[in-house]
Amino acid sequence: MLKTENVTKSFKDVKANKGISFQVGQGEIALLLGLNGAGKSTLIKCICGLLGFEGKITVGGFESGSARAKALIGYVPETPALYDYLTVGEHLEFIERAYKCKNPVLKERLLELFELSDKRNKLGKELSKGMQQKLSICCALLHEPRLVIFDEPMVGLDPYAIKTLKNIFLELKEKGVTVIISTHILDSVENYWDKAFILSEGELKGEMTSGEGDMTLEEMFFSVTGVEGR
Amino acid sequence: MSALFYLALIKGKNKLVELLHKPLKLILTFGFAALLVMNFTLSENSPSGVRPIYEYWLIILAFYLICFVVEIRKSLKSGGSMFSISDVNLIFTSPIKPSAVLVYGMLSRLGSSLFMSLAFVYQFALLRSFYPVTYKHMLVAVAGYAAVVVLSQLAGMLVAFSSKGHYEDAVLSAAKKEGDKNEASTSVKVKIKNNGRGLGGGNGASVFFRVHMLENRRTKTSLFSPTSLFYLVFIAVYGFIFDEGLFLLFFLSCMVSFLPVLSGKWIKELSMPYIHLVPESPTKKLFYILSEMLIKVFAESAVQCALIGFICHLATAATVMLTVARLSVGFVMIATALLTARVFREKEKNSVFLAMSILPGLLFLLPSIIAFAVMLTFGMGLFLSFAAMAAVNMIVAPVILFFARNIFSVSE
Repeated sequence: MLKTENVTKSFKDVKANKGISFQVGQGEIALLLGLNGAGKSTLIKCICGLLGFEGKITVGGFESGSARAKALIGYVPETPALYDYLTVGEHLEFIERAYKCKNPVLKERLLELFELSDKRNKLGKELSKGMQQKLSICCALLHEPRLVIFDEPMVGLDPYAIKTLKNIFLELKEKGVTVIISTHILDSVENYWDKAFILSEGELKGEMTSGEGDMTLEEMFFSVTGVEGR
Repeated sequence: MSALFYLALIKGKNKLVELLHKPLKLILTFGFAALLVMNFTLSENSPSGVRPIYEYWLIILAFYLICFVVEIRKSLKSGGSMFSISDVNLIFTSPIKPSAVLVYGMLSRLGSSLFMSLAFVYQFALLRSFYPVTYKHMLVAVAGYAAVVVLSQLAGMLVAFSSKGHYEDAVLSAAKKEGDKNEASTSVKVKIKNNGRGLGGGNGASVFFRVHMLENRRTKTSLFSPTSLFYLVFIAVYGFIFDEGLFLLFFLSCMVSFLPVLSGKWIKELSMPYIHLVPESPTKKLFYILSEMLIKVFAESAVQCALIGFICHLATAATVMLTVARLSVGFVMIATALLTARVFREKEKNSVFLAMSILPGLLFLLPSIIAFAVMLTFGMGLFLSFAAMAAVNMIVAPVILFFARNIFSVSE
């Protein structure tokens, strides 16, 4: 579903990603791990077609940045960025129009799951940070994408919403949707992953498949990033 | 209905609905509209000036040229800024055609720029007192301004896109604009040199002043904004070439008195938690977050008034008093801006903030203008007349500040 080949991204003299190559199959949950500044968010933006890069990224066989690839992606940014002057309901209507999709049942279900049903007439700027994050997740899932990318999705969510989100990870997996999760909170995704990619200083330093090897995710992370005992 | 049309329509509708729920804002909006209509109807019916009309078009052309250059410079420096971070995350990631997104961005930008051009339209009465301009001339000038905005945006996009490609330019500049440190960190890293000198002092509330000065040094922000320099040239042109007198030149100088208020860092400070958390007295904190701006006002007043004094052959004492009077105008504008922030309780966009501060600012300046006129009528001379103006403003500004005193308790 997702294939990156030798992806390099530079900002003038700073290399944020250096020759990153990996693949994630349909229905797999992959973790993108790394310390702050490791290049995770930059890589995600390249996958979403927001940044130019050297190398190749394909989503469902389509080149990243193309309209066909974008139609397959759902993206939950690290910081929820919503329109101040659009209500919750209008945000979702905007997504329906942008992606030319119509699924009132899913819309209602998402609103209910994330406790936004009674807030559908609230403006984006009137929502708390946690509520904004929930709406951001709803926006990413509404058009039934085949690849959903979550950049630090748990930040700002209450325990109930975190549990809901974890269930959604599994539900998406069952439906054959590929999920990429970038996170610092390893415990929160311990039981929900198939593959893990560990980035350090812009490079892919480690790759792990669930159930293989003796190391836990945490042990692997610390051994690859070399921060244990700091 | 396309997604982008829907977005623009609903955003506009919701802004209007919100306006209906904010009576003060609504009254001010009507006030501005009424002022605009009055400005046109009264000026149209009054005798116009007799200066050659080509001078009017030269001024307009100079204004266009500056707008164009500033826009291109901005694009080269930080990329096109017509998109918000919400646009980046919700529109750029969608399969909407990039050409449609570009048109949407340009139209959004055009909308806010035309709003800014209202300030320009308010100059109609002034321009008509010099030139035989009609409302048609003004409309042509505004239409031309819209064309300049679109062209400069296109040129800026071409420059930025040819160097970066994709949506990258807009992604980075939108992230930077929204103050999203994580998103923009990479671009900031390569653009700003960290000289490693640190704050160099500051204790308690004064640390805010140190932070602002350090930020200005790192971003190479000068004491004079491009518009302020433009007005300096404007004053020189009117003084030396058109041979205009003291009052018009002083009026032109006062017209830019609100600019440092808008470019100051205090507005951003009010929306951040630190100013509210620091255990110091509100007066002290207010003084220090305004200090950086006060320096700008002082520098601008001194340079402009020195030039006016030179052009009009004023005595040194009169030039000094002229500077003090101009400074006092700046203080009233600062106090008005604070009161506006206090009343509206939210961080508004600069253009909106500008519009909301001007009208009350002019009203608050009225007593000093009357004092000046009365003194001059009674033959008290320039020195004493400007002194009267300064004195009245020095009384008015603290009174306004008194009403804005609770700013820290409401800005959160």
